[in-house]
Amino acid sequence: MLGKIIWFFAVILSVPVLYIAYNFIKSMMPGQSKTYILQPVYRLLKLFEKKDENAGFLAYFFSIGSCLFSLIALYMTVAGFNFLFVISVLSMMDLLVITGAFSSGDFSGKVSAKRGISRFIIWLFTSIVSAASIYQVAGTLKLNEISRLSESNGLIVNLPFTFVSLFIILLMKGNLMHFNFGISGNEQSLLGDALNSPYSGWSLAVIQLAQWTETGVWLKILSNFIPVAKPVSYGVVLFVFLAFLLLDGYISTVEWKKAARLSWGWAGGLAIINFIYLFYY
Amino acid sequence: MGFMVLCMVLVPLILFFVTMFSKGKGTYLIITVSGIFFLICTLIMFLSPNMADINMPSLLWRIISLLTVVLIFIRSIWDKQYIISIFTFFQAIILVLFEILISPAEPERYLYFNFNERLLLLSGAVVIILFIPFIIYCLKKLENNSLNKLRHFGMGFVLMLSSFAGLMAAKSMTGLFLFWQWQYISGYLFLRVFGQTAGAKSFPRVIVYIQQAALTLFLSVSVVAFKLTGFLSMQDFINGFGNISEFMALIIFVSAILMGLLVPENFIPWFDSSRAVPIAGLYLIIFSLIVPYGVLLKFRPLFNNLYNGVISLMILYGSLLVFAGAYFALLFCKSRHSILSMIMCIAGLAVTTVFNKIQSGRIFLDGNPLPLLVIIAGIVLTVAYIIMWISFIFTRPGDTSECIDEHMLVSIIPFNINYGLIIKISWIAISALTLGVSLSCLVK
Repeated sequence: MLGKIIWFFAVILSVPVLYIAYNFIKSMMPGQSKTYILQPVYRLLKLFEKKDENAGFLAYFFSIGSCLFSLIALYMTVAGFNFLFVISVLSMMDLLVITGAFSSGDFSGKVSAKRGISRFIIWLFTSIVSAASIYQVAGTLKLNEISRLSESNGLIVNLPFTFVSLFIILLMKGNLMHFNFGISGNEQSLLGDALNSPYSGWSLAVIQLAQWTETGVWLKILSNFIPVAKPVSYGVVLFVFLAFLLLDGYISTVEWKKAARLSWGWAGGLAIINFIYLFYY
Repeated sequence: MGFMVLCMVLVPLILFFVTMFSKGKGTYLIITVSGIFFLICTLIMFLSPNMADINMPSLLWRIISLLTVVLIFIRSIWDKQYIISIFTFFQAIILVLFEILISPAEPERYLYFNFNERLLLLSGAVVIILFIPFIIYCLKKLENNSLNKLRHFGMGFVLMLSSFAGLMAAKSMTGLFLFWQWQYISGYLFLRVFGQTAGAKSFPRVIVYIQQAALTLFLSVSVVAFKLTGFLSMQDFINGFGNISEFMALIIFVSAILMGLLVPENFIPWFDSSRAVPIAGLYLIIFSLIVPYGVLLKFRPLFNNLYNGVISLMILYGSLLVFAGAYFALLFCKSRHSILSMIMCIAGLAVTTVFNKIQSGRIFLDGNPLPLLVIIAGIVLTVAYIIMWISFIFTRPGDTSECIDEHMLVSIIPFNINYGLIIKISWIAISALTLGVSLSCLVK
């Protein structure tokens, strides 16, 4: 039990630390503007201090709900629950964010909700197909069993494309590379600012926490496939994700529909290829 | 034959004739009373299945079958639907010759419910009683609510109950034929009420013709089955029918699919009138979801003997139903048609489940990942539909350019693909493949 609690808090803390490290490295790169090292955390704290604009009960309800579900998903992941259970809880989290965005009724809220649904069905489809592949190889969907089998049998050898497609889900969730759906709230354009409209101030801060936790969940899930000890595998995945965060600065953003098409092709397509391969070979 | 089973089949049939001569008065009362009676009977039978037996001669059922077919024949001539006349004429000939030349022995228990069937019947009865208030509400809102239309509706409703109970309880193929014909009459009566509603799209008549064609084939199959095995009861088909097992199973499968309107086509706009939606929903839940599942379960002894290729293709067809239902539901997002399409989606899962874990030594298309992928895609689309539906509760239709300019489906699956056409091609291809594999088994 103690181990699970330690993992739970370690994963929660690791994602902000990752973003701090990213911010630090980025600020040291030539041509990049200098920022404070603790900028991501500072921005979050400032959001907590702000009063929500035009936010009613629903904004708090959806943001707190999504954060709660992300924490439940994280606990289930570190405790080694069934992969599909974790996916179900993450779906609930996404559902709350999307419905909250719709409930705003304004332009950017609806736009972000539509893009959110598009992203949602891609990652849900990929996850379920990946789960089918994992079950075909491991005979179980329990994450602790998958981790144990990875260490002893090297599951990743039979699931290379599944691993890549799950990693692309992580990139989609992190709004990175060519899998950026433009709903992160970081972009300067009107459409890219979508997520900020239904959620602002305190509720946006809670959503931000939920998304960090969700990123942690996916990192932990991916680490189960690396055939080394758990802390090392988690560190490896964390490091690779950091590399993609840095690389993202050098990749031009694409229109969201192109991102959706690429996500279907890479995440969904690779998951299907691995699934069909396992059936026939 | 159980007393309660007989009550469930015959009491609505008596009410059918009562409604026929009532001139439409008291239809609401008959609908309510018959629904409550049906639920009470189902509950009693579920709690105490072994009640008093009544010996009803099978000859009576044969006469009823023949009378039913003759009635449809006369009515079709009256309505100038000569294609149906031709099919029912052949059915009548087959029935008469079958009785005179062969005189088959019907199973000892012509109507009987096992546990699964009682469970399905109970779920259907609960759905019926839940729908009755909505049906009556919509009927009362019918603007030109003539007594004649009310009478037809009441007759269709009670016959629907009777055929539902009969289809669940039938133990022989001739029994299934009889109660499917009752279902056909029930649907015909509903069509007379809602078919000509202003603004509604005309119901594709070809479906009605194909249903009668399927029933004619089904009746022929029952004759052949009796000749080959000496039985009419489904549970006695354990050893199959030799080389023609696959072909016979295909006709049985197609009959169940067509009588359940489970063709992955976009025929739902037929139910365009909002007044027809409650009864259309009820009709589809009973005859597209519960009945095909229950009927196909009866044939599991036969399916266990089949060549695996046919089974795989039937599973593929079921998975296509899941995807097509979800796709059409999303296409009509925020519309009453979505609910009706979702029923087809769930029915697809039911059809697939029937064939799950059927063992066979031979392998063709076995372990095919395609059905699973199609089902997953269908489930994901269903989830997307549910999100859209929940979101719709919180907001009104969009007023922004990005929300209006394109259909929601195109925005969430941003590929320029004609999914409707793909669905049509897929189901035709699967049907052709299944027919091909079944026929190839004949020449082995």
